[in-house]
Amino acid sequence: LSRPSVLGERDLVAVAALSVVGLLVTVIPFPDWFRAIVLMPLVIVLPGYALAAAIFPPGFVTREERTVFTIAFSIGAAALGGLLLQLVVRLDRGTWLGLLLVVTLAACAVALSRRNGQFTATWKMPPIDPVPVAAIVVAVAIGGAALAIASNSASRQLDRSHFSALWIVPKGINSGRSANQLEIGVQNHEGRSLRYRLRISHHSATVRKWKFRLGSGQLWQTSLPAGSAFGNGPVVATLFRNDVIYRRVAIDTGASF
Amino acid sequence: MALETADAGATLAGAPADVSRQARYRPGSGPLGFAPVLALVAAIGVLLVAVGDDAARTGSSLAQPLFWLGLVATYAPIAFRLLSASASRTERIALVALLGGALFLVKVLYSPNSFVFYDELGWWRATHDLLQTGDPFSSNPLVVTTPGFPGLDLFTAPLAQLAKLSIFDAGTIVIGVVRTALMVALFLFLERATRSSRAAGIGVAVYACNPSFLYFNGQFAYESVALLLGLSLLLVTVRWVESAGLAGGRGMRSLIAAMLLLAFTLTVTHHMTSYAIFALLAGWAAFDEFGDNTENAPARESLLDGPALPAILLGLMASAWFLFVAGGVTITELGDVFTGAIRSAVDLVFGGSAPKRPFEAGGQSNTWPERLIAVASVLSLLLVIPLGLRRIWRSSASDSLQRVLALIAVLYVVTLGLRLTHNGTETSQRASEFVFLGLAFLAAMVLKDLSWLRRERARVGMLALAGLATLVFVGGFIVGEPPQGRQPGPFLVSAERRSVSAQGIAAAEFAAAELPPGSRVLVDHANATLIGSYGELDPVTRRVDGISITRVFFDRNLGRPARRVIRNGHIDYLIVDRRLSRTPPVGGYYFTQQEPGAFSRATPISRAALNKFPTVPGLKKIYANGAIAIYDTSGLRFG
Repeated sequence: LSRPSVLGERDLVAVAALSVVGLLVTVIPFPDWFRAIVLMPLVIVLPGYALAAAIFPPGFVTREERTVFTIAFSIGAAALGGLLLQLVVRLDRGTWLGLLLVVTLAACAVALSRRNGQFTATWKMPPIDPVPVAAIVVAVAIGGAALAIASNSASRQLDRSHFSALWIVPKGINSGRSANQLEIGVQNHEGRSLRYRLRISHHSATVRKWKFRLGSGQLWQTSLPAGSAFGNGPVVATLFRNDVIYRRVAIDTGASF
Repeated sequence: MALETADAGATLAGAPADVSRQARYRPGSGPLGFAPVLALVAAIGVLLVAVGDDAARTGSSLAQPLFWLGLVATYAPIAFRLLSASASRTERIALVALLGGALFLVKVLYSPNSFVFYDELGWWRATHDLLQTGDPFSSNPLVVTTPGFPGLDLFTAPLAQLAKLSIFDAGTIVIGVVRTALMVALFLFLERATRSSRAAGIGVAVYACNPSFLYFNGQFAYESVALLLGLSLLLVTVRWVESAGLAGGRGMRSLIAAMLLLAFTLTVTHHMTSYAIFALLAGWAAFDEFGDNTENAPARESLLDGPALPAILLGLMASAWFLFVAGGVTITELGDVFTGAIRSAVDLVFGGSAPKRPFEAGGQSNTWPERLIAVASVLSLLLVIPLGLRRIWRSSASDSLQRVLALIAVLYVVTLGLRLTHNGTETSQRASEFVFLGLAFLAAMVLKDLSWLRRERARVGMLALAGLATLVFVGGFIVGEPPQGRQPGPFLVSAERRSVSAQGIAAAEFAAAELPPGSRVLVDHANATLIGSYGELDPVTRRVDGISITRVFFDRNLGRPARRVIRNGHIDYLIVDRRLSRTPPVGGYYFTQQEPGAFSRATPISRAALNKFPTVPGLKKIYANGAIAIYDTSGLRFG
């Protein structure tokens, strides 16, 4: 068995300080990457570490056990705390921040009172040999390179699919607020800039037509009045590429409006 | 429970013999031993996998050799070192954490920019809904159990929200951290069970051979998290059992508090892991009370001083949670899984259906070398069982935990039998993460007793054993993943993650932007994962009025039964992927496992059946991208 690890009180002070820094980072505008680095431990590590320190007597668990319980208790803090809180308030950013801060700081306070002079700090940094450290750094760099290769490869694979999408829907239907308008959209996934021609027809008569060019990935959208403007019968949108019919969609204004 | 001290690292961990600084660095010296060097080797293995996956995406013939070479380079050196007698305990812990991290990276490389596994997209939906509504109990069309077991999304949502990460990034970080901690937890548990840090390291290496380990248990899904919670509860139980025998019982209240916290967290996180850990604890308690006549038999004042207390706590919590919260969704999901497995087994025995052909799935079959490796892997594990059982039952030093773990290993034989049917394969796959707890323990016990392996210079034997372990690892992966699922690659019809395409993603993004959230849709299984997650719609997969939803797609004409499905099932949209008619479904089925011809279809769905929709009065194609079309059914339902 490994020796029970004894950290004095510095670890708990550091945990409490980090959680307060987490609070500051959420209210002061910082770059996203910095915010992510500071706030990740507030969810994954700090509550569990503080809970483990509060639950177990000083020196009761080994360093490795504490590592495992830190993660497991952090899951418990968020899962059980969230379950309880959602009974009374909506779970949002502020609620989560408050929950995790309260759990961490309260557990730190309990742990500090339990330790209370029972232990002196005996832990010290082990000697660091530069060669294994360098090996680990290079290993992490190679792992990062592997991720970069895979990420580029996956993106390239998606980009190899070339197509264009056309749609026609009642405007506002996704929010439940019908605006008595039609929304027509074209998106270019062809991997290159293309010229399109779009025709809107009703009972075979052309109502509107457009010519436009879309760059790769670009979206073109427009709205048309529906309902009384068309009367019953389908409104048809036809997309042409090189003057050849490429896509055709339709909507029945009578049924949908 | 006294630990062996024969292992180099079984002395005080973290304080290996040679911590003094030396003038020149020697590989293997220092607290981490060879772990930094092996991290370098594992990283190169991971890099090979990344290059192999890249080759697979372009259809290169180098894809598989690079992938297998990368896997072997990642696993084999670590397994070799874990077998060694000279590694310190700290080094072993570093190595098991490294193994977990490196193999998780292999899983991430499959799809490093977004989730593509079915369960992951189901959990993406659950987390997304939690972030949108603040409600952890929102219904989920993809993974019906998420509202009953919201532990994972409740842990991921604050990370995503506070750190402003995407659900994919937050989920990947969560699983990566959990996975590494899981390996350490497993090591600590096996160390207590085997009373040897060396055996624990070997046990972890064997556990990584389970068919679910590389991909299924590395998913952003609840079982990936629950296993860490279950092992943590087992660790606390071991401490509880040990402490109960000590005078004064130091830390007893702390251990009870930890048990309560872990048991409740486990209960709200995953049904099967709760039940499996409960079964293990109950079995352990039963052996403790009735079956342990050995010299190690505990002398306890009360049954509750042993594993019975955590068993009762977990049993009560899981029962209450089932009764008051999660019973419905649990029965829905596990009912489908188990009844499917039982029905398949009955059909197999009484001739109702032909057995599944081993090593084949949807026209994709393993090569002969792959089959040989898989068979050798299974046989090696089967050999461990009698040797281990003999070792445990003959030894007067065996305790009740060891006997329960040995019995769990025997279940491996049952799970192999389940693999003879299609539905049973899923049950077998899900069970492997628990069954391998026992197998890893038995293998560790058998190997640690090999006297020649204890010698410092038994390098040839260790090489042979590391080679065998690597064969078992590779074989486990072959058994667990069908050929088309091992690496990314070009689009395949109805092959789950291999069916995630740019057209499918575009259709899902359109649905999320333009269609009412929660609209009911009929869609094939592969596209359902995207439409039900990124698309925020609700795919319907169950029968309507006793009529299979597949009638809508399979029938040549949209007849009365199909129209009834659309009307009475309140189907808002039909989503039709024309590519389905290219080949038979690689995964065995297009829509549901119960559809006609599932797992036996030799010809694809007819093109005419998929082309009928534009001519049906009342159906309007509102979206088209060449491969996928979305039809509005309002004209048919209300017209």
